Amino acid sequence: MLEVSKISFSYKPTQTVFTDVSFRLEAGQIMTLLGPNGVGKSTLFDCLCRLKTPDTGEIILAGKPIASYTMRQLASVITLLSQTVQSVFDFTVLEYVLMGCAPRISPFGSPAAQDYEEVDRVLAQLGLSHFADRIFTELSGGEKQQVSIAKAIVQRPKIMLFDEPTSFLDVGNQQKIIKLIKEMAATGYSVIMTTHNPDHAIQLGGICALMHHGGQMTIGQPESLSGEMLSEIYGTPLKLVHVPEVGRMACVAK
Amino acid sequence: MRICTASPLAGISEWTTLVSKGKLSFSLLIALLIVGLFVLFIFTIAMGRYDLGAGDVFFILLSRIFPFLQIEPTWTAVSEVVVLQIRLPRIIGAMLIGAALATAGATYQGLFRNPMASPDFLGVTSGASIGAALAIIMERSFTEVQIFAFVGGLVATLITTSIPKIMRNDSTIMLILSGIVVSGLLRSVMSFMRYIADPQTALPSIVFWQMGSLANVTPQEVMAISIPMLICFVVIICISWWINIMSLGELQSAVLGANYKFYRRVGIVASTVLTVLAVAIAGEVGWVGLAIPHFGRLLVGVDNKRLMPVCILTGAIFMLIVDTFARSLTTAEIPLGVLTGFVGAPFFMLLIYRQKTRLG
Repeated sequence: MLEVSKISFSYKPTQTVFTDVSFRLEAGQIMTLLGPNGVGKSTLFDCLCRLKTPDTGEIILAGKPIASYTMRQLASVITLLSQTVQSVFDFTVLEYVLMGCAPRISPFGSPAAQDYEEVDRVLAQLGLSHFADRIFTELSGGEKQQVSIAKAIVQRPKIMLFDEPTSFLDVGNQQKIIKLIKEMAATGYSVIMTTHNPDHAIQLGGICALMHHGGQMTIGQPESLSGEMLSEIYGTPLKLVHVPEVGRMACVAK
Repeated sequence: MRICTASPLAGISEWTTLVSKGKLSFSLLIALLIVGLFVLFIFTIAMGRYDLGAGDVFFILLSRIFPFLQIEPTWTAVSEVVVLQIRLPRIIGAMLIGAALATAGATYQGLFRNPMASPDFLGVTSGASIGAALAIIMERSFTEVQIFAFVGGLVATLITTSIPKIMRNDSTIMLILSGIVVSGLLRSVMSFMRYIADPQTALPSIVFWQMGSLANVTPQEVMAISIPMLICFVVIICISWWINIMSLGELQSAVLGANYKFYRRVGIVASTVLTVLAVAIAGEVGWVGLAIPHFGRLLVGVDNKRLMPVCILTGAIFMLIVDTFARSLTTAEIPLGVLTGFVGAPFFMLLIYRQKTRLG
């Protein structure tokens, strides 16, 4: 579905963000991206959405190089769920989710009856029907994330990029989003998600990618993560311990 | 209907709830506004120093629009001249200008993600004032003053939109800053022109022009502005839903596959044409472009697809009422800009009062 080979990106010749990043992602697969702040996780996402162009390397999306897509076509294959969407206007949840229809709407047109129906259906599917008339900016962090996922579903992409979807959320809401992302992958979406919590990588399974300070990326199964690797990239002593009560490994700080 | 005296805008808040809860459909609201505008149109033509009946006005217009009806004139020839030659152009002009400023304001607010944006955001008004002042100082005719104002407004916008290109920073914030700088600079130029203008002849004309008026509007001018304005209204309505996406910013637009720069350009061109035509004919008329879009949002919410038609209609209604006051409140004309300020500023304050829970 997504094939990234040897891409590198730098803002200035002296300021390399990442180099030689390669990975493959199949339909329905989840990849969790771990790495310290400022290491270039968001920049990588921007490259995948063609908001930025890598200096070298190639990104093949659904069999075609990413450069051969128009922005409109690209938006119906891949979408990015940003950490924070700020709106100065009080859009209702319905109006906000409806914007996800944009790639299918003619450049001088507006949503038709079937688009409204689709939004209603997606909101119902996520159990958000009662939110339809609420003001998006007034929702809590967890509710906003769910509504953003609804908007992404309406966009009908094949790949969803989640940029730190669990930041600013309490533990309960974090788990809700993790569960939702698992369900999304089960229905066939490919998902890449960045997170600051290594436990999320272990919970989600799939592939786990670590981004190092120098901009290199190592890829493996979450099972192959080790306390040493995490300690090194985050620069603080971390341990991976097996917690029998939950039946999985957990990352704890010393 | 519940009677509430607690809020000065109780009536409006009831309306908003009616529309947003679907009890009053959007199409019904639009129908009501159109009927309201039509009734006002007939009655404001009847109003003024030369006394006319609303019935006469209605039949004079009817006889002209449908000559085959062969309505027997029950009115005097003078009435017909007053209606067709004097009041009708002015009233249509007022409606067009109100609608244009309100729509341009709403478009700028959406595009620049700034609820405080007004149609003179990119320096249109300051540029037009300089154009007009230049023509007045050069003792040109009234029509030439309007043409100079039109060109001045366009040149100012062109300067504002070129600065980000020269600075190689195409962000919206750069454009806003550029607008502030150009407007500020042009205001100084304007002060200088007022300073050198002949205090006996040119200065009063400049000052009067700047205060805004529709007193001297001619049928030809109204014809000249109406067609480009109608085209711009259609263009803005066509991109109105996309302005919603633009208002989330460039990144969100790109993620949704929307061409941010294209819509920004189309929106700016259409709004600038609307504003510069309005200002060229009527002079500086403040507050309409700022306050009416906010009033519209109170009625139908922030979706620009609904907001734009409402802005066109309420902008027209507002300006029609204000211009009727301007020409008939006292024996002398009251400058339009003075009245829109008197009405618009407190009205805007009331709107803010109504939205107080959402501020800060």
